[in-house]
Amino acid sequence: MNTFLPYTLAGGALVILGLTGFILHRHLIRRLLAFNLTGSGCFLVMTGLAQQGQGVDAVPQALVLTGIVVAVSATALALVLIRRWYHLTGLTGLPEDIEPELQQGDNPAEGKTQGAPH
Amino acid sequence: MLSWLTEGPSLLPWLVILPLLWSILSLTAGQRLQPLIATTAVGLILLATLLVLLQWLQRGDHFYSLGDWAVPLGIRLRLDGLALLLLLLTSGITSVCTLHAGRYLQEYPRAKTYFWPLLAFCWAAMNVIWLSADLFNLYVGLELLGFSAVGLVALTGEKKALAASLRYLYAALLGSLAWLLGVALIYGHQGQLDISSLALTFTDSISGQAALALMTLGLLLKMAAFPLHSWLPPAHASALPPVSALLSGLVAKAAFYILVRLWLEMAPDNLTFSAAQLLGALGAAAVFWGGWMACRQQQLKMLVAYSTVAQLGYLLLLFPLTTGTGEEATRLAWEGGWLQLTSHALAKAAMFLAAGNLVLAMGRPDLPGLHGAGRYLPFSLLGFGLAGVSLMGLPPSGGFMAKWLLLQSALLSGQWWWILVLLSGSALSAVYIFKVYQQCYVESDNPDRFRQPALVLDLSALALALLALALGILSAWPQWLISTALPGGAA
Amino acid sequence: MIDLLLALTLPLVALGVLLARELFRAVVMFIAFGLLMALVWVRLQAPDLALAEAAIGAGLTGVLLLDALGHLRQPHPPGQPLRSLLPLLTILALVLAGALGLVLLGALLEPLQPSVNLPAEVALHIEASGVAHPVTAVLLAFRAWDTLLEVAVILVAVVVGLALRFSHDDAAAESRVSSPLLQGMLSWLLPLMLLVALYLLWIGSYRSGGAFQAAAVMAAMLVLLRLSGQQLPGQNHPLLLRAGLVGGLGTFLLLGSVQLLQGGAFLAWPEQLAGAFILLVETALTFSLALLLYALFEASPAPARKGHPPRTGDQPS
Repeated sequence: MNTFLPYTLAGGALVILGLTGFILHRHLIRRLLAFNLTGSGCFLVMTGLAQQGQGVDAVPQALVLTGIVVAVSATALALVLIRRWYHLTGLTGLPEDIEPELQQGDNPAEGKTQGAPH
Repeated sequence: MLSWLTEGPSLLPWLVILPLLWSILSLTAGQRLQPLIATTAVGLILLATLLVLLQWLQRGDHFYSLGDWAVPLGIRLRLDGLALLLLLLTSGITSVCTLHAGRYLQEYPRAKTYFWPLLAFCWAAMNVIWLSADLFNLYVGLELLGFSAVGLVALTGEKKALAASLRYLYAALLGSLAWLLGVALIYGHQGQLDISSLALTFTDSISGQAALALMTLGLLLKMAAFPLHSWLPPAHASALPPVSALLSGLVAKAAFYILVRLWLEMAPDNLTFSAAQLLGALGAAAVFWGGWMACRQQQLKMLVAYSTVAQLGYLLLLFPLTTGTGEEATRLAWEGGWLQLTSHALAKAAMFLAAGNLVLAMGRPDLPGLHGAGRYLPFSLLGFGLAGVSLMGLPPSGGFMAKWLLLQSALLSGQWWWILVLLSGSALSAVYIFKVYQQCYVESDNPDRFRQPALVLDLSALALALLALALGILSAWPQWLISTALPGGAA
Repeated sequence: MIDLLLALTLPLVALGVLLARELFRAVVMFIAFGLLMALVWVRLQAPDLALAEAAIGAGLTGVLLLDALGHLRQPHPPGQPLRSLLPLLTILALVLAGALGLVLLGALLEPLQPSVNLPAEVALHIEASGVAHPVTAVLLAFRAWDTLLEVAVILVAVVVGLALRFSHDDAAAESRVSSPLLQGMLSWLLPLMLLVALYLLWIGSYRSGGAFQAAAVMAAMLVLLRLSGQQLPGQNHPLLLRAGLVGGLGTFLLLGSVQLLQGGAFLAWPEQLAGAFILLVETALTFSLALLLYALFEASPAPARKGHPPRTGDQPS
């Protein structure tokens, strides 16, 4: 069963990389990419680890299939929110991460819409 | 009838099927039919909850194998006193929120279209979680709950709501990943996913500890425990009032519920004294920080939302007070902890509904906007105040009863430091609630801007607040219900 | 050997995704990562996952991301992809990641001692499940409850997308370039894709394939159609479209309740007809999931056009 071990470890590495990226990035789409990488890492650990012990196992494969579909739904949901947010404010990050004064409200977006299309 | 209750098939799956059917119907039917569909659906779900209660009284705790596939291959639902308590609480609070939303959303025609299906999905997801006994199924349930809650927050499409919902979504996603990684480790090492079966074989190993730590971190993030709480106040404050009530009252409790199942049911031997103390310390920090921040807020709904952070902190005291503290102290803490959850669910839902009514009536979301409210809106204020009594933990409310039990448990187990937390937490909540009241009784120079909220809005807030208050007097039955589910079994 | 190489490449490509200076590059590398993952699944003897990863993980996610990028212009300079203002946070994150890495390494290298042999259980009960392919049996028989809820999860994402569309974008108003050549090509490409999708659906009972993979192909078909500027059938019948979106979940619920209403368990399939029921559910799921996956793409808020500032949302009247 040793063919599965390198992939399990690669999964672990992906999780670490993805989580670090998720925490350190500010751009919402970059964080989304990091989320997807972490997810892939989890899926690899799930399948790889189980198959190391018991050989080819349909159960984790089915679970991961579910996970992939959930991940794409999460990505789509996040993108919907990001696009709407961008069209209202011209920002691609969360306000607290970019400029602390945005938290106070009073319509700071007016000065920042140059980036918006048209 | 009685024989059907004892021998007939269990009605558990209906608690998820019915909300899902509701969401399907509300997505396909036109606007005019929505009230009819919602009323029917809520009625049926309430009926199903009631019948499940009767079935449980007849036959006690039981499992339900979905598709007739036994574990470890299949998934089973589990009903015990604790699950039942949360099912009842969910049905009660969500119905009242539905009633409130039916009137409140008349002013939000666009949001209304998609509010109903999302609400129904949210309800289904909560029932899935209360009944689930399978680690991966809990993952799917948590995602369903998280996505529908995020959708409900974003519903108005306003800037604030969008920023809050994005923050909420990213926190939820991070939490789910941690949970999923833990599930992957457990499945790899143990080969199964059913919580009750895992309890029998869970061993003290690196992978087991790592999985528990990861899952705990994910859940702490999802329940907005200090210091991972910063996503919660904006999300709960920027949503529509019935949504805020639902999120603060119920949704925020799902992660805590799973956390308890995980530690006290699946791996009770792995919870060391220091780990339990650490969880308690996080809770204590949340009580202080949430209370302090609530006192500093200038927006009414932000104040109420920070109060949620503080009140969720009390729940974590359950861990140090039930770990190695002796039978009696454990029982008191167990009952006190869940009673705190129940009374906070009712009181906070009531308070958010009342706060929404106040903002609607005054036309301003900030505290100075409340000037003069005391003269014109005693009904809305009554709901807010009664909910406040329970949050402060004054007798005879449910909040008092809960804190009293926790206090006794702390005394009995000699952990006096939690007593300080309980007392000063109550003092802090008194400060921020009186702060709101004080603003309401400042005289205002311009009385014309008041707008009396519709009666049903005030009544729904008041009903929940009264329930929270009455919980202190009528706590015997809920306490018995909770005690039947005491882990390690006095049941 | 190839396993070591592939396992080593994965984190490197991931690092490339995270550190790419331009966002566009990052997304393209992410799609490459997805295709690499598909290869990995083949090596892990999970062809179902390879199909799904290529179609959904790389394909659909990639299309979604690229489409979103098209609507977002970078207001920030392209450099400095990582947070540089907060060195403390960076150090903290790296320390945490290192600690987690050590713990994870310990957990992954620990000898396994599973208390249950689930693959053996699957093999034992697959006869009774009604299908011959183990993954399909897990998805639609043993753990059908998860699958049912997962369909609801996609539906939620679509509903939120629909709710957040700006009120003035209606599909009819968007005219996209349509060339006769493209349409001519599509007229034979699309039937082919439909055939592939149906084949995948059918084969799922015996071998790798099934509703999710078939739906991904069909969704790709719809996206192609849409990009070519073609009117989709039923596009102007919102009710029909809605019915299609909820059809999969609805069918799943109804067929799952057949036994329940006769006193049996929810999601239990009738003994003799289990195979037929699963195929029915899968067929409904395929068409509905195709629409849902397509709607994930279509329902995103479109950019505001000139003279039509986006509405800020519902204002209380």
